[in-house]
Amino acid sequence: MPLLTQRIQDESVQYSLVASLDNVRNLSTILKAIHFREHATCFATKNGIRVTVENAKCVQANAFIQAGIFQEFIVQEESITFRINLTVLLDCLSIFGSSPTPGTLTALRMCYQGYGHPLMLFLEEGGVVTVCKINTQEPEDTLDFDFCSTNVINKIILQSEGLREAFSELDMTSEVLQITMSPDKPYFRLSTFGNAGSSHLDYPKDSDLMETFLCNQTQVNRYKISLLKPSTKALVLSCKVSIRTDNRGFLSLQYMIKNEDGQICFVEYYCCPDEEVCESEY
Amino acid sequence: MGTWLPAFESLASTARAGVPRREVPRRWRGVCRRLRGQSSGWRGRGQAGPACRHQPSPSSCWCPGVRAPRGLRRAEAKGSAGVGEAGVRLWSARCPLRPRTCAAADRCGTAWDSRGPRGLRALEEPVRLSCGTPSHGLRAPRPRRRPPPGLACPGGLHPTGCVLGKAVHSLSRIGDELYLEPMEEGLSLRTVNSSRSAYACFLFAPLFFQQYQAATPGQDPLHCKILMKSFLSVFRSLAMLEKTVETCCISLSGRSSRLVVQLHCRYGVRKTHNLAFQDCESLQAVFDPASCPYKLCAPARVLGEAVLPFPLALAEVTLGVGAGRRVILRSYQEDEADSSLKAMVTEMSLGEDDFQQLRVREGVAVTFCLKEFRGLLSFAESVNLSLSVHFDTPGRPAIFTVEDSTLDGHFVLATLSEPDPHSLGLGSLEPRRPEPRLQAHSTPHQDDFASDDMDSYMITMETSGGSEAPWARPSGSPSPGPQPPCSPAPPSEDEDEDEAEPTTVPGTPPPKKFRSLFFGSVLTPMRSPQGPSSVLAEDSDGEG
Repeated sequence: MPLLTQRIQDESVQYSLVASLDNVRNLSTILKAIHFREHATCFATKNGIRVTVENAKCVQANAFIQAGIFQEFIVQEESITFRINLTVLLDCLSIFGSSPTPGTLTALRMCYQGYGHPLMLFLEEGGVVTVCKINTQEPEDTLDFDFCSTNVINKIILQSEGLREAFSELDMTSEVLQITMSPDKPYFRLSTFGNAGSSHLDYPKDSDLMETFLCNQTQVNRYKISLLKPSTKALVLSCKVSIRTDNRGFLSLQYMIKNEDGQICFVEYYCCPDEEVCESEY
Repeated sequence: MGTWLPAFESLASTARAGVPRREVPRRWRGVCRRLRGQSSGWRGRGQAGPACRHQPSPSSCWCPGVRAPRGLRRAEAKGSAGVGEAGVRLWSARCPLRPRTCAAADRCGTAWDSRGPRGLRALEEPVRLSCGTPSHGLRAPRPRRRPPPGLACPGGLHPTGCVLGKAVHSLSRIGDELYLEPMEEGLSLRTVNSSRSAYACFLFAPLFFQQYQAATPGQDPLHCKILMKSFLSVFRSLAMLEKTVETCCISLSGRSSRLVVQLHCRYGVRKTHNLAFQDCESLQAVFDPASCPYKLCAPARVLGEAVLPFPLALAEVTLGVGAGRRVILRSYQEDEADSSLKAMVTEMSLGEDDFQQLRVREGVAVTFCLKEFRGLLSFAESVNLSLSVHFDTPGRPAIFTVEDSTLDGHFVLATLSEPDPHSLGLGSLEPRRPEPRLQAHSTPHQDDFASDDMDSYMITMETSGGSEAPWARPSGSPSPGPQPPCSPAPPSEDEDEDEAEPTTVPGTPPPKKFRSLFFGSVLTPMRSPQGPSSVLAEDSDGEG
């Protein structure tokens, strides 16, 4: 076999990750939902890609882009992990402009050769191809929140519409967002304690916004508002949100996001409760 | 991710009781478990693939997860701050701003609640019940009413919360603090700007509300002052307010020191804002529209459209009547030096026909701040009311009023004391009076001096950044005691010492040649045996 052909063949085989997408916005939208820090860690398996962003060792956001979203998705290794600058990645993905032009789609082919190699992006729109190489970084350990569904105490699924406004109007002078979930009144309450005074937002359990209300025990937890505020990005895109707390007061927010093609993706936020409260309480 | 599957399954089928447990075997590590859960979620969505889709072995390449810091579990919550005892309880509802025609009919009843709507109900479209009718023990909010198609209601109906919100928005263009005063004759919202050159007041009659209860007889009426920002945050998004809020309930209790604003929204969502407020004296400006010789009145829309072309950055506008009794609005140029920089002058000329009333001599013009004027205009436009402008000679405050059977709005804006007579090209203006005519209630000149001192003192305090200062306002009639710590007035270009402006404090609205209005504090008779102190509605020309 001639050397040249051999090399080419090798190269095509060498990519440990190849993913193609007809509409790059299906990917960029969901990545934007977790874009609150510069860097993200990507895990890829046969099932899809998980992109994780963390902050302050207290909050973690995961975007799940399942293989079905991609038109082509090949993973040669069992799993691939790398860290990448998410800002740069998003900039590249929207290199043809972030607002969609009607009738034109940007197609994407994403290749990764393996550890130590850059992530290659081939973006095509209207016959113009852009090649981006983004250097990957040493993967970092991600937090394990050990959020086990068996430990879930309270769970609420809401139409995102009902929370959207609440989150966008959060009193940011308040340091914390207090979430009360209870089988009795006030059922589900979001409270802030700002300079101007406190405000409470109550959702009755029989509200039409409430898809599921499964609360076993009254839980009042406070979360740093600065850590939760970024989740608004995901909230805005989502159609439903599941709010769960476990026995330690850890919060899990799962957002169901419908992309332009009607496929469903999930974005998940985990957040640790604020311990300050406990000190003041006792 | 595992919980999505049962969660959404349960949506499709009948609700499953209890939290679903044990979706994933515990032995898997967090990261992998999550990914596995994810895959099961995909299956749930109808993705092809058997349940046993191969998972990556956890051990091979997944980094062991770092434990997240553990937060202690919290015990039971403290009782949240509830609604305070009802010192004053104001209930507003989605009662519309009624057209005048039906307002008269309502008059017979003591409250809107009791008569008005019922009389109208027959005419109304079917009541639109919002979903998720709140089931709280409190008075249930009324279903939203639609305008009766038969009755002409200019501008459609506005839920009171919305009208209230719009009023707050227009007030927020003026001052940083909102004075809220529940009185027998209604709820008054007032504000004054930091340089005291603008004052605004809205009075919402009890009929405006679905239910209105001022202080019980014998009780000290409450005056409260809250930060505009915090009150505004309640009504921040007017579009949202219009769309989702069904009832707004405001209650004020002296004991809890909290102003409680409750918004009952769609889907039974209830927002409760407990706002901190300060006890304060009543803010009162003394002005009398009747004393102004000139008056013009026009639908707010006419004036609103007239100010639309003016640049947003424009500070002042001159309003006057030119030849042919045309009303002229013109952007105000500060002086010759500046006019080269601002090359554009915008002028709008309105015919007499557009005005409902025009009682102004030709050649008369006043200049006032546009921002505040826009604030009132946008309010008046949104409730589709007519705006009356009362004014006098330049330098004396102009009074802008909107009136309805249930509400009343007054904006008092200082006018430039020395408009360029040629600026409007209006021909000869009345020569400016060197001494402004004293109003009947104005105090002797000596007192003016004292008040002005106090005024500038207060302005300095309010803008010096001391948070205590604005609250620690001297009460009662101003004493000449504290001398103004501010620097003496900068030398004025006016040859007339009379016109020297008080002090220029950074951050205050454009002092220019505006006479600042002085508002003394009026104590309630209970607290102040002397009774209300005399106040001026115009600058007292301290240096004079």
